[in-house]
Amino acid sequence: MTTARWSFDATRQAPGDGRRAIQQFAGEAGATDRALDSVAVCVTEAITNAIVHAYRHHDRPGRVEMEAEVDGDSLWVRIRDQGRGLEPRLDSPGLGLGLPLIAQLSASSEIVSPEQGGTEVIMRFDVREQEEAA
Amino acid sequence: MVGPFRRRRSDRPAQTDLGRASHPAGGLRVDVSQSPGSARIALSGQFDIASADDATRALQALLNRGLDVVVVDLSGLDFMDSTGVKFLVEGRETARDLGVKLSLVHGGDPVRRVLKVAGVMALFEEADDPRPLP
Repeated sequence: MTTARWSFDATRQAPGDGRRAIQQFAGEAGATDRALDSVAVCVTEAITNAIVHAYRHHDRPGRVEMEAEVDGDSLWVRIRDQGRGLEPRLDSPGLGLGLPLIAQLSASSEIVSPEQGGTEVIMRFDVREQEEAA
Repeated sequence: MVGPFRRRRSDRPAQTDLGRASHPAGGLRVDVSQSPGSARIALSGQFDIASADDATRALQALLNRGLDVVVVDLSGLDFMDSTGVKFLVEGRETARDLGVKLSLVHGGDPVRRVLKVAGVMALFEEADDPRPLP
């Protein structure tokens, strides 16, 4: 079992940093191109949510933590912030599509509001994911 | 679904990597070319929240030049998230309001997949001639 952990300032650069980090990690674990694409979108959306929702009212950017673990054919990724949670906003920079994309492109996903505050997005991916038959 | 993280909430997993990610920037390049009555905006690189505002300003400015046709060329994109979907949907709305024909040169599989999952593929007409303008 292989694990890794990263921490980012919740700035607009964080989704790209997180995406490249998880793609490298998943690529080293042998993930297919299809799986890498799925992970890239979902991690980007989860970190973007932390930036635009969790820390929206903060003067300074908070932190976004990312943890990944490969267990057999499953890649688990957890994105965690310490902000206000998924506060709705009408001017969402992604049309509110972030969570639906995560739901569609991950094998399974869960959003948790821990007692200590913040939000966790926990996602599982199949590292052997292949394109659907036409 | 809780995943392996929750099983060890109070017991930190062994780590092979710990620390802050350090990766090269993967930005977005926006190229605009124009001929009488039409223009093309070509995106290359990675489209996410870090670049969405710049790309949106460039497209909106192009749509307001009084042109008949604007082509958005996604063929150079390696990655696009929901902020890219918003960029396209808002561009389509502006084009419609201004009477401009907006069409797409579609991107590769990762970009097409996001548009498909977001349910917006059918909103956009494919460009008649994908070749760059002179």
